[in-house]
Amino acid sequence: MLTRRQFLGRSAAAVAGSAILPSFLARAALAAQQGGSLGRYGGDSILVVIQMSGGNDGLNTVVPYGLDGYYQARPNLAIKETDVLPLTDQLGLHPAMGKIQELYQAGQVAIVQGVGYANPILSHFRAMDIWQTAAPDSYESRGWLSNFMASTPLDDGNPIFAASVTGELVRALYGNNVSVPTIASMGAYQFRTDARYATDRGNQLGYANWVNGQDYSASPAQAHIARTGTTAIASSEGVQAAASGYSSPVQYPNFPLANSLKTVAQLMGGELGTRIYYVTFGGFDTHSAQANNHARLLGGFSDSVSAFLADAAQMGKADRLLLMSFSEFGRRVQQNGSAGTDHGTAGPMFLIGPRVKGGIYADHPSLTTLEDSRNLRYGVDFRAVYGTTLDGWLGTDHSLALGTRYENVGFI
Amino acid sequence: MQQLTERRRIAHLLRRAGFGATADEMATYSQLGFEASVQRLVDYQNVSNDRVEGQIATMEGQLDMTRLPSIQTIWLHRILNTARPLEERMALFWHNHFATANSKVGNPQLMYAQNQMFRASALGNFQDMLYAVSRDPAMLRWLDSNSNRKASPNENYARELMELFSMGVGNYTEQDVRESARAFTGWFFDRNQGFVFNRNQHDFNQKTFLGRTGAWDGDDVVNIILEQPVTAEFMARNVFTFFVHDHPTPSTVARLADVFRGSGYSARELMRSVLMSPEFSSDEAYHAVVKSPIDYLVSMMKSIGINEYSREAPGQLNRMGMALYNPPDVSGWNWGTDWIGAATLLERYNTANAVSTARGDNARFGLDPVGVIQKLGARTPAQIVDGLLDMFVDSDVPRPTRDQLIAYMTRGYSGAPEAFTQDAARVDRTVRGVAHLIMSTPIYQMA
Repeated sequence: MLTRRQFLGRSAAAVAGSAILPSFLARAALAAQQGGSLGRYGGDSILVVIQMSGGNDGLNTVVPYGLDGYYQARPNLAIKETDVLPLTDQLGLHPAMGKIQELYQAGQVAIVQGVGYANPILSHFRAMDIWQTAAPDSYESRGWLSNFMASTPLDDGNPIFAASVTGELVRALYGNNVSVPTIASMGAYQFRTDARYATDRGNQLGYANWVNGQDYSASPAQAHIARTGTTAIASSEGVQAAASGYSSPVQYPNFPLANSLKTVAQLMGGELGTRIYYVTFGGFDTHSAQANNHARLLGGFSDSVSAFLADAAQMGKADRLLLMSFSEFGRRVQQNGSAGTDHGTAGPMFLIGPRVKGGIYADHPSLTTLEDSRNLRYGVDFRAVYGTTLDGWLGTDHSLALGTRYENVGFI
Repeated sequence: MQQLTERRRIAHLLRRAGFGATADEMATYSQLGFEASVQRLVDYQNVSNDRVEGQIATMEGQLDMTRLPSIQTIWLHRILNTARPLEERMALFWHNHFATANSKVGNPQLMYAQNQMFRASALGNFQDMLYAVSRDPAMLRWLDSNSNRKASPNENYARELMELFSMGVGNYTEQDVRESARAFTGWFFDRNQGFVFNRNQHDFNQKTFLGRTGAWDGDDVVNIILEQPVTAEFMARNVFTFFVHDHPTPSTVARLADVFRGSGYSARELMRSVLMSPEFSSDEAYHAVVKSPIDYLVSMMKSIGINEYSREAPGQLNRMGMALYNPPDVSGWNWGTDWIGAATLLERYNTANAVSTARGDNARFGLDPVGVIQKLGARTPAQIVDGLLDMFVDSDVPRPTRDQLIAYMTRGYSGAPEAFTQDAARVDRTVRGVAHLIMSTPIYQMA
């Protein structure tokens, strides 16, 4: 059995000079050593939220080829029945999503149809804020995942309990005085020292950890800064150890989402106690020339997710994963005059992972009885999908994070 | 409680009323002395800023002003180069106070115009400021004023006007919010004309607001707000916590509120009183406020004498948690220790590292180790460390910290002691290194 020091390797060396190993690292290491068995799925379940930015056209993603109105509304843009990858005798996937179809056939994909909310907003900014704050009816600055973290004892001060693997401020993770690191690349999340004198690094880290370990009781602000410095440096050393310890035979596709998911895989390998990863990729605002762009995006999504799950599987960690994808709105049923579609309303969400109860959840919205004669009517409130995930996967009472109880959708 | 030295008082003043100081600025203001420095900072209308205004005019002509990075670049240039530090500090104060974000407004030109309005009225009359803000196109977009119609008023602006911009929660009722929303109905934004008063959407009927009844419009609402004693107290407290420290006593707030009210709501007289107050120059205020990201970066550049932002600067500021023109919500940024989380602190350390280790084509964006120690007249590790500590933190560190920094300079790569020499590589490694370490010390995060 590895000693704690052996397991943590570089991390332990990095905090040499400070008297106490940060507790979160010790606990994460211990959990990894034990193979983790707390809670329903090991107490070390991981949620990966995949945000498709721009408003993904759900109708050409989960294609209702058997539903009245689809081909009439989209004479040029509809996916031909012969091209659809069938899931049921009414529904299928866009032809670029072969890998998702395989996962579906293996029972690892749940598709919730018609997800949205009442009085939908068709503005990118406001709609994205609504999804990220889970607050359609008010302007909130705190995110739904931040509210989850504030309501749970799970995070125990781990500075990377959640990580955003994206370049932008993610409101879903913002607020409640929690600072979630943005690990856009592994290289960015470390205490950098002069690259020209790499061997001087130990001297510099030694001072940094010493000075953060001094007594600042006379200044609460400096005490906070020093404590934060200690955990920041320790967690960043853990992240760097994860990066250098990672090697995988899996080939990821050349696609931005794949790069982000690979970073997630590297961090997972480091067993740093991260439970939530937030990943974004964009390009879905297909007002014009939709066919090729959408195919490229969905193919990238499908192949990236598949590679990531394969990577997690070869690490022995796939069954700890639940992926949740969403977009801030769907698109209009009718195609427009520019070979594309305009902003719409409800759309499908994908929940993917070995422990998902695969299948189709909720009915497809009618294509003929529409909102304002234009847009799909939602059937499932997105907060029910959030709530089902928080309860079933992260083992919490979702009403603490979302303010009230929502129906259990049943996919986990 | 020790009395601040004159040197520390000046450095403190320039950190709070500005964004730190270059060596030249330290010399200029030290020569003036504290009181004359305050007058110069506050009465900045007497200080010419023509050179910078000329540079700004050129930049406006060269940059695509419809893009957010362009207007950020311009403001960053002002902050670094202005001859009127308090003018920019006040522009930032008002930007945070009337927090408006481009992420929703979606129009950098409107955001820029709002910023110009804040600058023009920075130390002006608060009543005029509220009149102007109520008509500001970016604000109207931000708080949904075009939805504020006679038949169904939208309360967003009316509520924030009282809650965040003038009085504070608990000093008005929901009925007051509803009534003042009615007073602002029809105060719209038109894409081509800017502010327009849409008579058809305005509710001309009687309203009862904060106990006063009349056919009020938006300006009347502002006037009534300014009749409330609590308004001056709310603003005095906001200004004090922004410029001095987090714990003003009730008597301090009352005293400053009297000054504000008594001067007819002159921001200039309020600021003069704040900067001249005993609280401002107290031990409790000194090195007591966490630097915001813009403070951290700009004061670093000024101390070292860097006069050009690197290309990394906007990204560094974003990752430290502050994107100019994009506060997270209508209550502005979260100041104080909220700036310091694991990721944002690492970004500060790494920004300091980038500045300390800039070389070659990037040398102008960073520290020149040989030049710095020559200017300090420092040769030994103790002289170098003392000189840099004076430059960066007014020497405000305990002895053991100073000794550890000197010890760093007298170590070889392995960590074993190794006497300091003037060897070029040794000087390069340890001067750059110790600068980075000083800037990674908790006190350096404090203004």
